[in-house]
Amino acid sequence: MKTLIALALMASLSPLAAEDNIWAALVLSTNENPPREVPRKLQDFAPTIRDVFGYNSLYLLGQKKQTISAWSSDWLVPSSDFFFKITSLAQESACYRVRIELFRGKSLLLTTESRLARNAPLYIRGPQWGEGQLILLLEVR
Amino acid sequence: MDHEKELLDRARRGDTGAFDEIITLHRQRVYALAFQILRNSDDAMDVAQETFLKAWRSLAKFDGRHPLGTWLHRIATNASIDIVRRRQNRPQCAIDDAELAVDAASRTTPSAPELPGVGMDRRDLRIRLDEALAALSPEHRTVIILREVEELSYEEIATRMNTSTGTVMSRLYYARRYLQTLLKGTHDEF
Amino acid sequence: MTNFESRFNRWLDGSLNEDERLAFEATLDEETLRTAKMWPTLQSTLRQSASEIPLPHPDFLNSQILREIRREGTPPPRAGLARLAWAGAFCVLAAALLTAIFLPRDTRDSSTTVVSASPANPSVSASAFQAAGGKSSVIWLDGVDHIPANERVQ
Repeated sequence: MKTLIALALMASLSPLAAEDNIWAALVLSTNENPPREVPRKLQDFAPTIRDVFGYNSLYLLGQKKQTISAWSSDWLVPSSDFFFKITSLAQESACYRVRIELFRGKSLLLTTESRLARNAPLYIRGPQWGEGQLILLLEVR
Repeated sequence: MDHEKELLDRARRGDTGAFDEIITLHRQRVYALAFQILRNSDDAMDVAQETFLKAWRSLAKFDGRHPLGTWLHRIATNASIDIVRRRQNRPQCAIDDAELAVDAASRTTPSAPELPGVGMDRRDLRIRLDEALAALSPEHRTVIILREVEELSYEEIATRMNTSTGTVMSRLYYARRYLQTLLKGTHDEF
Repeated sequence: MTNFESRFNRWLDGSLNEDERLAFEATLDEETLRTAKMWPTLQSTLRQSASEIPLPHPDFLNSQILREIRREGTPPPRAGLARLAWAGAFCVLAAALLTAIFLPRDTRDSSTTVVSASPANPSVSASAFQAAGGKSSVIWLDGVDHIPANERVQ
């Protein structure tokens, strides 16, 4: 019993929960007049996208969420055209150290090693599509 | 210009004294161009040396259609870009520190001054501009210097940097937006 | 290809015709329009800064160059390689020192950071920086092929 209480206390003190999720999205950003209403799921990201990338209208093309834990490796597929392989290398006190491979179809576009903290997204500037900009979002939740 | 033409003619005949004067006329701007791209005094000095040595060896090929300074700047730009590429190809230090491992531009985007509406004078702008340039990646910094200071066309920049015009546009877009954030909250007149 | 970024650059450079300019400005917010008017000031400040960067030891530079010219028959020493070797050695030492000092490490860091970013295609470049007050990070890829508007993305 004491062991169970101790384990529960340890879990509650840990900054990263046992059931963390990693969420990915493919977003098309454009400039429109008037600006399009931001989709609810993208409202937290809109200010940064506007400030960094310079676009005022967002379209959510796809999203996917799944669990992440230390030493896991899995595909994360927000869209059939752009998707990730996420390998969790280590679980540090407040973040996951991950290797992220971004694919477009069969081609590897990018390999990055990053520390992902909870509710602190990673934005990846993808290719331009028509007159818009594709942006990929990754966030631990 | 006539004096420079005379110096050039003498230098082509092997007159190192004339070339010494040419170096003196152009050394500050050559060094400044390299320093703005590389943000490192030692590397900029290396580029300045290399630029004038290459110019000496190629004096016979200089046809005089463009100003001598333009020709020297082209050599300096290419030499600076070579150093940027060499830096990128160096093995990364295997250290467990995100800020040191990320290649440049690993600063936060500059935020507006805390008191919007309070004017910024020219001196403040120069200081913030210098900090912002230092924070840009070498690629972004190079395009902004080549466009805004050297006044090259997009196509000329693409050729110098051995990349596409599309990539030049993208880098220029980002670098300009980044620098424009320095102007947030300022008065219209300095 | 005239995507937004290209048009923005041409607009800032005054290269759009009147109709293009008006149409483009209609898509921009007030702050962007306002700071664009001050862009010439920033340009001139940049150029002025360039002209005022001090050259350290100018006469030494001249003497070094002329000395090399006089020795033209003998290839100058490859100082660049030696510098690279020393830089590499310093890197290893710095790595060991930092590892010893900082491991084990409890960052308690609540921001996302990019440790490394490597594009697969050598013609693509990646820059990484922090945004949103330092909490989030951005990987900016340049050189990825543009997707035509009539090509489906899902």
